[in-house]
Amino acid sequence: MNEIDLIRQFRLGDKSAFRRLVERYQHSVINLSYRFLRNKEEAEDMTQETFLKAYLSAHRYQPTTKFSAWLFKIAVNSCLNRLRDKKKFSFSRLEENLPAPAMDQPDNCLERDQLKGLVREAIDSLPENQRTVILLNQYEEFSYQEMARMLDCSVSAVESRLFRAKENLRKVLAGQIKKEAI
Amino acid sequence: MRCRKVRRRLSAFLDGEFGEREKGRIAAHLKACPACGEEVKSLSSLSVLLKEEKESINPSPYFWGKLEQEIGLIEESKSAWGQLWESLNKAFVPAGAAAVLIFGLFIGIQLGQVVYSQVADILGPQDASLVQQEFDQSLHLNTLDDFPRESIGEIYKALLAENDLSD
Repeated sequence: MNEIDLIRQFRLGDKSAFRRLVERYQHSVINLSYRFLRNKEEAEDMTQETFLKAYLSAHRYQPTTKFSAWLFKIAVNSCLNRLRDKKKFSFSRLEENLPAPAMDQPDNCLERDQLKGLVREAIDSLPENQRTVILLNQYEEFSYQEMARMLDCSVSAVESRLFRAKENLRKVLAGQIKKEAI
Repeated sequence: MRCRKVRRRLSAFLDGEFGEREKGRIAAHLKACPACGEEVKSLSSLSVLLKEEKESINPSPYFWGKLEQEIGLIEESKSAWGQLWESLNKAFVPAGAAAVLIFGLFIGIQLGQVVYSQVADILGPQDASLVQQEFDQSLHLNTLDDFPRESIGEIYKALLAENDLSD
């Protein structure tokens, strides 16, 4: 059964349809939340919150957009609100937040875990709007139009944010990118 | 197409966001411009690096159980509010309707008095007292004896009395 049918069933009172939607998307939502919050327990709490909000506002979902885009919009907004509440996300100048470029590393490639850590740091140091589009584009593979709808902005704004995000990431990961390109 | 414009659009180009026409224009530029070609390689490498970080976690085995519990609590509280609203409706709506009716009657009587007072003001103090008497008598109307002076009831009563005297 596709997700629109499941939502329809749920609106008619079939709670098992909602469970099937949860089972279909819980993994993606928890990983998106984890990439924002970098804490497993918080990510799970945020995922619970996302599905609860979806449960309560399912009557507002319009089948003109993908259900996943609607659900992820709730997840993104919830995560961003949590981050703002915790003031975990610093809006200070990007240069202060950027880790040192990994250009002076030894000739051998960084260990895999070190590399992952570096990439994670680089993403975490991006401004909120750039980080959001990178996470949605690179890891969830939403189209620019879907992202624009989710973030209530234009497609050209999404394009612009992605361009700047990738420019910033390339600055930090320059050394590693050169090695990948070889 | 200028390099600056192309470079800003390379990410969308690599993500397959463009139609054939725009794709063709950018592809043609990339063929002719080695610098932009290098940009494409750099962006592709970045994409590979970002995907390396794709750490994945799983929800706990109790995830659905916890969610179901939360949903149950919300449904219960919704139902409790619903019951409270129904009780309030049963108790207060009829009482409210009665209060509105009584208030309406009271306002009507007060307005009547105001109208009579205003008529009395126009007619003068002597006639005003007649108006007031008629008003009071109308409210206390019980039998034929209570009909105001020169009213139809009074005239009829007088006719009856004449007939009695003549007999």
